[in-house]
Amino acid sequence: MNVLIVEDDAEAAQNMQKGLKEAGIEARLAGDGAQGLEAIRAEAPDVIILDRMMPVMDGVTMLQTLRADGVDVPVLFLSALGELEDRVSGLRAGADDYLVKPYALSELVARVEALGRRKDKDSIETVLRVGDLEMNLISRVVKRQTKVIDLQPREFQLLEFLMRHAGQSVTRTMLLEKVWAYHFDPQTNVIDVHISRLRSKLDKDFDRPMLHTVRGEGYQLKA
Amino acid sequence: MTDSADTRKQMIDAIWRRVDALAILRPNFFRQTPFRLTLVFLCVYVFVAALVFGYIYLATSTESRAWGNVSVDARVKSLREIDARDGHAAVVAKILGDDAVEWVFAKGAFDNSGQVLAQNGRARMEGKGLPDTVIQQGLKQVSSGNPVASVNFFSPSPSDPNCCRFQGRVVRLDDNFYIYVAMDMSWADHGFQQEIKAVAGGGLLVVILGLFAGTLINQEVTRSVARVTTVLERVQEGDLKARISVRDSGDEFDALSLRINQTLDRMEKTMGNLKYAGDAIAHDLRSPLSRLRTRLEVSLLEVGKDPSQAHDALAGALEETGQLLRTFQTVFSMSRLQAQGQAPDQALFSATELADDMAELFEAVAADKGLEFDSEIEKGVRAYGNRDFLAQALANLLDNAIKYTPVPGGVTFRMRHTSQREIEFSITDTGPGVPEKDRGRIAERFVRLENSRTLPGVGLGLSMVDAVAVAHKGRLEVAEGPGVFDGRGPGLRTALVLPPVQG
Repeated sequence: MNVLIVEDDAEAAQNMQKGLKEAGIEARLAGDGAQGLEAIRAEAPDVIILDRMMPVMDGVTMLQTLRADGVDVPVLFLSALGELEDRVSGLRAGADDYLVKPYALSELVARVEALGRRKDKDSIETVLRVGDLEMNLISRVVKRQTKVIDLQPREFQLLEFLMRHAGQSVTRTMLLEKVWAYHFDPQTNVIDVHISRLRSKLDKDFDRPMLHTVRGEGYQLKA
Repeated sequence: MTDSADTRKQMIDAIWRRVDALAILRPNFFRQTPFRLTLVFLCVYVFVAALVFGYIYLATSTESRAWGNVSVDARVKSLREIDARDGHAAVVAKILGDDAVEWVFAKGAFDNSGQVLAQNGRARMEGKGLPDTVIQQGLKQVSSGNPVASVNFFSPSPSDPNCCRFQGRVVRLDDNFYIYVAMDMSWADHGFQQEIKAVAGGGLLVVILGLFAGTLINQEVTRSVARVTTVLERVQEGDLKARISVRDSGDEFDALSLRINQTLDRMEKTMGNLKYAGDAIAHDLRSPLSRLRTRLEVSLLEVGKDPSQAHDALAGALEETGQLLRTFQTVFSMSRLQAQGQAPDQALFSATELADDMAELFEAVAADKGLEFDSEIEKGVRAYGNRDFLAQALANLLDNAIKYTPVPGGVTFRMRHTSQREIEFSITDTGPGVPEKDRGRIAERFVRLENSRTLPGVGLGLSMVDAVAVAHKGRLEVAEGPGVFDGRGPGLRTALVLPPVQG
């Protein structure tokens, strides 16, 4: 996966680049909106990390230009503006995700990976498969190997999200956002508890655990 | 005689001060609005008065002229009749025999060479001037084709140079015989002039009084305006507490003053909030930052002694930083909420759904710890606010309840309409609760009570909930829980109450 980082703070950009490299993601850098547009025209990236506040051409303007040009590469906004209205306006301008500074690098990596994988989302699938785990989206039946796993509706949603992002780390904030639709930092262990419940249903009777905790980051479903 | 000199000086000073207070001598005076308005009003008045006056003048003078003509014509007619009956000599005799009753009229007869043939007493009294004028005008204007002419002239009388204005007729009775009758209009004029003098005098008085009133009004208005501008100047210079004194007269200036005072109140509060927010952020972050620093310093020492510790030390520092960032976010959100005064992006949403979601999220946490969790959530309740902030607040309260309740125990979560249609989210637990004297403090930032120091967290939760409640124009209630029962309790009851939905 290759990523384009459009950020005028050179040091921050380089740190991001290094962090992404550790996760196996290559990243190009662009110092402002104009350079960014050029870089995109040269080679389309899989994900764009876009700083919202930049001189000359700000992030929102650049994004609107991109979308008007028909470029629908997923965009992650980075912003020091944390108000709900800033988030909403950023998403409305065409961004796919929004991170507020200061952010944790692991959060950034997790979200970039999630966005990069989103290409598959448009395909109409009826069954999700990860390893020996199978989820039928029509019948709402989950089976591991041959055993049916009984899940509450919320647990089903949680597992679906994890399966769609299998192999990637998902953070607690992401889970709260996507599965419960609330945007705040769950400073408590509330998400952990729900994951534990799911894990016990998923992994207890099997010798290979699939739902892993990634220290300092979040969780990952891996075959 | 210094005493009387002093008294005189004092008196002059006092008068001067009075005059000065009228502000009429200030250079700006004539440009000020109330005065200009008064001038405009006076001009309009004078204009209208002039119109009315002009009309009266015209009407009166017309009437006066008509009356004069009627009187004169009557005398002319009688003389004509005498002439027709008895001839010229009889007319002359009549004229000469005029008595005091006819004193207002100057009558005479002359021939076509201008020679006076007869004059009545009045005409004789007027001297040569009157008949000469009449004869001149008459001979000029009257002809066989135009036997009657009107004459109007002023003939100064020997006894009174200001008298008299005459209005009359010259009639040609014959080629060589002309008569005239001229009426002294000075009495009519005099009456009229008295009228005009009265009106003019009255008008002048009105204008003077008007100007004076205008001055007073101006002074009054300027004073009221000055009160406002003075206060605003002081505010501009930094005195945020300056307010306009309201006089309670119920007029527009009071209304304006009240409004400005209210605006200044709000401004002071916002400025105060901002300042407080800035201070608070600095204060709140100092401790966690210094803790982090200390930790890193210690780690540096430990890693110096044992390099294999490096990874763990860094991981620990990173976690601490994460915690610090989270604290920062909370403090920042809270301060922004308080500075703005109200929660951003509020909308109508389902309180029932929010409560259900929170119950679902935290029922698992309670169960995981081994506590009972009950929820009673009223259906179909809607509220107005920022859903995410409220979720965060409720998460805080639920997490606290679970954290501070020992096993065995329970937490109950309720959401309902109160009798005043407020929306109340309440959480009760069977933990040890909070002593009454401390209940007021626990919503303060970074306060953690004695029995909680060992539990994780920094003590911001409740102050955040309070900030969220206030930002929604609601409140946080902290009260005693269900009471001591079976060795548990008394517990704590916290409630987040939102105002009723409008409309």
